[in-house]
Amino acid sequence: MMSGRSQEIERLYHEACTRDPSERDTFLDRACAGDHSLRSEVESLVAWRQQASGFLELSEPDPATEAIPVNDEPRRPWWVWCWSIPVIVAAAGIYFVSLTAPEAVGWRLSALRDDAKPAAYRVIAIAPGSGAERAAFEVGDLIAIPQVERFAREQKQDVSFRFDVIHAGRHRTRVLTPAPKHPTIGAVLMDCDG
Amino acid sequence: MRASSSEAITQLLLAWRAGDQQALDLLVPAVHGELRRLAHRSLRRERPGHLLQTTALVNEVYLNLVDARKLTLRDRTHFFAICAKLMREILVHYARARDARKRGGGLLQIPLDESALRAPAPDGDLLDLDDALTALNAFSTRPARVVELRFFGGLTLQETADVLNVSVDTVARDWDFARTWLHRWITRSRSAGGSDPKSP
Repeated sequence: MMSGRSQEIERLYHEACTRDPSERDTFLDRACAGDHSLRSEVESLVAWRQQASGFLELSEPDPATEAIPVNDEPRRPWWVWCWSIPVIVAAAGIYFVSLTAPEAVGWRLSALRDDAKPAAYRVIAIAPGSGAERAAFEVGDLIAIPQVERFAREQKQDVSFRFDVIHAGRHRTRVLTPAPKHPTIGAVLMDCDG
Repeated sequence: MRASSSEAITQLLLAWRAGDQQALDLLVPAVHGELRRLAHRSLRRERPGHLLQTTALVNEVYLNLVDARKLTLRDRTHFFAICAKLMREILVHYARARDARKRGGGLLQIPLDESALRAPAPDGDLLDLDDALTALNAFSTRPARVVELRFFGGLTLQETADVLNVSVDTVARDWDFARTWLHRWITRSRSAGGSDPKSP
């Protein structure tokens, strides 16, 4: 529930913040029309705004000191369905594992934004009989992107991996939701909305 | 989570999105249980002083509980919105339990595994934020909800706008106002030794 008073405080706060500091006194004089309590509250909030600028910002891992967790508690496998070859494409900050052959999509790793580019993949699970064992990857392995590219190019059969994305940048990781509007896309690996 | 359970939860989520409020009543306990389990696991392995990655947790709950292939991104966003409120409750519960232990509150019953938790984030900060959010909610509901969705649910501005059915600009303004209001409330509260700063 929001009272009329609350609404007024919020409205004046936003309006005052958009004005040049030199104009705020005049603006508040006029807008508050002698309501000293209202003016005092809005002035106080505007004054606190600067101090609150970093408040509630999510702490981001420092890539220089952030250890890459390996072999921590097992996570529930969830298969990325890479029926042909894993191809990572970028679309509006969301990265997909494609179901199409690489020649149909083209290698798009270069399309990843530099600051969002993952440093490596960690293999979380390998589907039995998927053909992935030919890569000699094991669960827990960290795989650099060039290795993934090379392996993917060499494969002629279906493979199923689950990759965990290890970030080099500041961005958070999200994993694996379908992209129903894109029929060739099976799963979102991550998005980066830092 | 077996496939049948995953299917059931997926159907509940779809039903809720279609307007069936009873589906939400059935959905919340399942989500809460899974979220609590994963939060507990994550809290145990977090470094002291390191803020819990709530977004990653919520994602994992989503993956474990639903058949993501049958849901749209919008369904996913609304699922995250459910998680945000539950995540806040869970984290505050843990913080209060640890706080009580530090103060020697032997009357509080804490399961053994929970008592072994290390502090993942400054508990005082989290408890202060929870109190401040409750106060902000009494003052103005939507900015408080924006903070809950963004901070505890990890939703983006756009996702938050979708959940609240407002524009992204409105969410951005609410976020700005809420951070200022909360920061002032918490600072005043600490200066006053924890008493209600009675703001505004």
